[in-house]
Amino acid sequence: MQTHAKVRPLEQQAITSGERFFSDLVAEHQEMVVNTCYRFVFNREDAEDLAQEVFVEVYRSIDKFREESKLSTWIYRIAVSKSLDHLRRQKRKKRFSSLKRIIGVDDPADSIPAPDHDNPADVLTDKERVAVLQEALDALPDNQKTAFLLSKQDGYSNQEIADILQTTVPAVESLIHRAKKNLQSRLERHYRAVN
Amino acid sequence: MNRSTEQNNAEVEKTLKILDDMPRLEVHHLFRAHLMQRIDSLESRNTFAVAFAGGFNPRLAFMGLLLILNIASAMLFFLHETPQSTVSVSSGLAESLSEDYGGPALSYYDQSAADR
Repeated sequence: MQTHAKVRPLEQQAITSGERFFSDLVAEHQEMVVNTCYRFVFNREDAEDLAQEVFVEVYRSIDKFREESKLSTWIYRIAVSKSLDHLRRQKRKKRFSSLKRIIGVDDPADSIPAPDHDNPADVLTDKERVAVLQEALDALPDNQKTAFLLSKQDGYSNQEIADILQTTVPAVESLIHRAKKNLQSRLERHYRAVN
Repeated sequence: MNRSTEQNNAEVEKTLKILDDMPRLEVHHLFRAHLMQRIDSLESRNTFAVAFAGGFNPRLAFMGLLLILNIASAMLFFLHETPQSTVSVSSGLAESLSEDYGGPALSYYDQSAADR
């Protein structure tokens, strides 16, 4: 009985300190995580939703973190994989809705206008150009896309990208180079066909 | 021809520049509050699941099984044994009555004599 009385406050203390640790962790990395997801999905709301999923995953599996990499690297790796999953889901959805369009069934979700704040499509005035870029990015292999998009974001060094992708710095440089080349040729092909 | 290539290159450049011009997002001030709320709801759901599925205790399960068997046997006894016991009690009563009053000491007349 006495031991229970002693253990309870200790347990409580551990829970409270754990919660504080997690809260501090979120505060420290939330901006980087949201912006990383935003690079991939081009939409503020989706990026924030994904960031929430990232931190839920972090909360659930923090015990499994084996300190083979930095905690921040582990978190950003989760952010990247969640974002890539989201893009895959979107791609499947797009394919399905185009199939429905062919069959002649209208998806009511298609007619709902997208929210217009903080989306690059609106901020950058040219929605079409953003769509073209997204399509070109979608065609890239996941590792090229990830290396290229992370290199475009402030705060990621090539070493950090290499850690996230679990590869070497020269490999990352090569991935970025190939991604640029692929994007360039895809976009050229697109504009040649249009003009 | 040359002009269109230049034009295309300019378009490509403009398109790629979108990534450089992407604004850096400020995180919503309620982001952490929403996250904690989400985690709390997940936690309570998990506690419920653990209570009913995760925390399997063989001793508790055995006790539960015994309890169910006890209740089931008691129900069987009351459902099926009660009408039978009434019958057996009444037949036992009739038997003992016939034994008590059917003896030769209490008979008013001898059956064999009557037959004669």
